[in-house]
Amino acid sequence: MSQANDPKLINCFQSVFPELVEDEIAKASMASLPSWDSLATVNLISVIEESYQTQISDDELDSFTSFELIADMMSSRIDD
Amino acid sequence: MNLAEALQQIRDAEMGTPASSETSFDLLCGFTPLHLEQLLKARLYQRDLRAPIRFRHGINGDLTGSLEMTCGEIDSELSFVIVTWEDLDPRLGLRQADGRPSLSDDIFKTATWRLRQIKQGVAARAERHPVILAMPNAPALRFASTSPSQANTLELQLQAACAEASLDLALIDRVRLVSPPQAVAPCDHYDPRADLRFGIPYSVTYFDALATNLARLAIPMNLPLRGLITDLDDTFWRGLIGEIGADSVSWSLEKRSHSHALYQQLLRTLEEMGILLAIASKNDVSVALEGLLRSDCLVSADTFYPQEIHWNPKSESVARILKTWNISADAVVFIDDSASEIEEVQRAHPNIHAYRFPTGDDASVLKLLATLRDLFAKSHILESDRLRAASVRAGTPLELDEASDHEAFLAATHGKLRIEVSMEPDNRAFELLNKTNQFNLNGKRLSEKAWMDLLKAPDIRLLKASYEDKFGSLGKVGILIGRKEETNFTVTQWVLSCRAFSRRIEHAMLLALFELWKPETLRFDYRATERNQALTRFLEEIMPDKPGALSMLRRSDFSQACPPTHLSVHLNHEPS
Repeated sequence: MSQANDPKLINCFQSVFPELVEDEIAKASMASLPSWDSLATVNLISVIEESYQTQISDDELDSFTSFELIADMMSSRIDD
Repeated sequence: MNLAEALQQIRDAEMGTPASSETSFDLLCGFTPLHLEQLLKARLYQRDLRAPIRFRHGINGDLTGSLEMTCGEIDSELSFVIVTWEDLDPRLGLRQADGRPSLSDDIFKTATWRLRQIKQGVAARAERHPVILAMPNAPALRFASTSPSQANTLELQLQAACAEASLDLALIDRVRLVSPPQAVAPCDHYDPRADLRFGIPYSVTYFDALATNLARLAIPMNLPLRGLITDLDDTFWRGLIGEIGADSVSWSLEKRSHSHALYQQLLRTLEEMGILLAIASKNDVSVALEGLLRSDCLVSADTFYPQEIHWNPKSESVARILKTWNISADAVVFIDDSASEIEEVQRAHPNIHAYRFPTGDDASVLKLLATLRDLFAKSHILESDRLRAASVRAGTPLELDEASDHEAFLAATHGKLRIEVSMEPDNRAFELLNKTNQFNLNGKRLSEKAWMDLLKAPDIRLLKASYEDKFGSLGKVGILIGRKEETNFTVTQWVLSCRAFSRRIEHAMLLALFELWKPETLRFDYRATERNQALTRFLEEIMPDKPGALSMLRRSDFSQACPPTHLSVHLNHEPS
């Protein structure tokens, strides 16, 4: 099950990208969002780690290019 | 505060604020400042900094180079400088760690050389604006030949060199060293994952504690409080003196009442800092004095003035003390062991800082003492602080307005006023400008940077007034700042210490201003505030019209309205 509707993940995105409204978050990606630079990625990783009380592994870092990929990555953790 | 909370705090604070009014700070460090910047920004907003904050960074990975950078067109309000061991030698960091014993001398040599560069860079920055500095703390070495349980010689050398540099830097005016955060255990300082991945060496927990301390030094929430009113029984000493007698109340290790001795020690420290101390105690005065006059009492009885020792309500005692000190309740702490007494006082004086003395609970007493230390903390102790407290204790007449023959009284006090025209930086003048409420032209406060800039402005004039009379010296009591124009002088800021009211110092300052720069008119950048009624009353006395924004006063009108000052005035500067 994808985490795309997980309010916790949406909150993480809203923290880092306050300019996005909720509908825009699902489509957010590094390519489409000018404010999503490398520092924003670091922020996003840190906020997600904080919020989920978890550690993002090195392999999972590659997912941090779009909301969709992150949601899939988080859901695969739950499925595992 | 975690990162998400910090980001939320920033978003709330910046919502709807115009970017044009932003405040700039330099944040200089050798690591990626991302998390520190966000937490620091959030903590600064928590301290009522309203304008949007912008941080300017230096060169990534090069702290000493960043310190040397020039400020551009607009200088920042202040610099935050965060030094880590890696800044002294990259081999001390995780990313380029190298702990071979053969390198120890070279690492130490590099580190001391870098420390010298940092000292020079910080000192140069402090010429322009305040610098808040965090130096590295233990441990320094990642790898060494010794066991982690054994102190390593190189590590000790590095710590000693750092401590020496810290001391030198702390002695520079406008450099403030931040204390290492106490709330975070050293093992929780580092975040090796974030360091290796992103070049962020510390944990969010540590950064937040550091940011809290940095923000507190940058924007003190309140200026230091000015007076403390203490109870006696089960507060100043253990026991009820009226029941067990003066010989049996105690403050000693032997009687297990040493926490009261620590409280007395703190009061003794406050006395030296110029804090006003008074007693509000329900007792028979003769009995209480027996305790206060005991030879082993750590605070001399005459340190306390006034001493309200009787059986009337404590709220009345506090009211009389505040009137005698001529300061408002929000600048004063009230300490009592009784919750009901605290409530009674707080009902009458809701703004007073009231704390219960937790008699018998040593750990809680220590927490209270730490709180009091924070409330009264000052970065500098000025001679004038001690003088003001001494003048209160000496019984300087306190109700001059009510004196029956005020003119005769003023003439008999032999007041001397020294007025300096000086643009030299002056901590007391800066403090007066930022803490005076009652006689304050418009309530405007200045940052240290704005104050330094003002002193360099070519058209600005600054008058500093110091007062003494037969009762003693009050030190520097008045500051007037303004702009000289052709036939006019605009007073932009004017403050007078409440200790100096009713001595016609304000009249003498204006007379001096007319004499020095010969303006035909004065304009006052006046604004009524919640608390500047004393200044408003003065303007109403001397001006033909009700005071308003940029009210004007003609020399001729002032000459007619000005009463004799009875002051011997010494002007130390020829008009420019």
